[in-house]
Amino acid sequence: MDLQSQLPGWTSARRDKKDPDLKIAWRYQNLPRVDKEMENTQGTAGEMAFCERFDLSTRIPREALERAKIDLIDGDKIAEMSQGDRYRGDMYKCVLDEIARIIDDGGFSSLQQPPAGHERNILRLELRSLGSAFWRGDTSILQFLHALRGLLRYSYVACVISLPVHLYDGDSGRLPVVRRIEHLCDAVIELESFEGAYAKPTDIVGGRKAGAATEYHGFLHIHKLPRVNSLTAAGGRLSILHSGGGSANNLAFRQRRKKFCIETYHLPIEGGVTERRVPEDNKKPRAVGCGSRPGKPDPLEF
Amino acid sequence: MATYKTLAASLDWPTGQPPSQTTTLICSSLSAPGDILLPHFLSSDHAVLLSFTQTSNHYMHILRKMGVHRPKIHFVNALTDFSLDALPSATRPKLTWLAGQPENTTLVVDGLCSLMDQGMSAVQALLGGRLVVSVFLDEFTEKLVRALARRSHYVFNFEGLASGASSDVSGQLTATFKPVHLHYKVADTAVQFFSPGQSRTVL
Repeated sequence: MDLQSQLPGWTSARRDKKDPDLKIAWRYQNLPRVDKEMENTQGTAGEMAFCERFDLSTRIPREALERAKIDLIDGDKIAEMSQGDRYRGDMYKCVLDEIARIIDDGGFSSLQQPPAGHERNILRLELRSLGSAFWRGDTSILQFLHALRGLLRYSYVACVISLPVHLYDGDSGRLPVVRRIEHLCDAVIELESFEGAYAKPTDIVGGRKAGAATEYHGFLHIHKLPRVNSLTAAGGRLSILHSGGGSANNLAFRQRRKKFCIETYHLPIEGGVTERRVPEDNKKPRAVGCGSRPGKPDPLEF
Repeated sequence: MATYKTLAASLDWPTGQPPSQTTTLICSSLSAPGDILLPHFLSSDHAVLLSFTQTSNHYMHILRKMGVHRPKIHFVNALTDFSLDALPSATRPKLTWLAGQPENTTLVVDGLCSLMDQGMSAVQALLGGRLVVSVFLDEFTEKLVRALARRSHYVFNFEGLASGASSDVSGQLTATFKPVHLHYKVADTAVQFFSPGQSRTVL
């Protein structure tokens, strides 16, 4: 199975940022736009742009894959390599040695000078489905993560790990080892899907217009942000979506055919937009008191 | 250190540091990390820092931001010097050199729970100076933390607020040896401790 060919491609469409002419609220025209989604800040031509936009319905072009420098650590090969005398079935140790080798060969270690003529670059490491049943060995995932953190602290590497946490959810809740794993990582985010939930939160958490087309598919929880070389997480202060731990900005995600987007959500207006009309059959002008219910006389009214 | 003056005053420690021959335990949770208290102990006269979680650069940067320009700390790297097949005896060679340290030493251990991750089941505290240990308290580490708490003279408990997250207050700090109940807010260069409701941003 060639995972690389399944990576999504980039969108070609740029967002048109023309603001329509505001006739009434023209005073607000010059204020910065606050949008529920983050704007894609495309740099000027020649600058490196971060945060690409991806189109989930297309695949990454083959030429881009060939041009990129990708080191693939194949699971089947690891399973084979770990059977030898050196590892004795310990896949975690085998993968750790592979990662250490790639870091050393590519000049990503901060403990060594890069090879002559080689420019320093950053290695992006992705570990997919860590902790799933595929991983075997005497080394536990905790020892692996501890050793990985030690390795990465002295390298120019950013690592993203995906953990299938549903495998660690038992009848009595989540296994405590997940909390240990969270402590061993610098940043922790969790996608909580509404699928299979008993009460559908989508009925309560509405999109911009209530309707199936804009409903959310789950929550995004940010449990922890990296706090290296600092008391606070630098990322939390600079972002408007997640302002320093306050629950002011709750995040939900929705997966459409072409994109996966993350937005802040808020509870919609109480009672709904279409249900706010006072019932017509009550001709007597009624004052709304605290005991009033639509259609019935207020017991406190006198 | 200026940051910790409020806290030190409410704890009634005459020198600002815990008395010698004592053990202090700092319990953290995921949303309220307690290692923000470590710079206070690191600023004592002679400090030895044994860290399982961060490199020396991390602590040096933090101390510099808080205004300590030449931190005199002996750093022991337990993050990378720990082999995957850690045996209990592996820690003893590392700790015997401690016997040669001056009397007034503070030993700060950050992230002791990593020993549990490595497969150890018991920890010995064997110091003549002061021992300060930072651990994470959860179901996994409960036994270890309870054992340490029984041996400790001072226990600090860092937790998130029971009422939810807030951008003005990072968490709350309680202590068992004294009726201390403080809220705190972590900023990049300092930590502010205040009584609940007395935060400068709220008043």
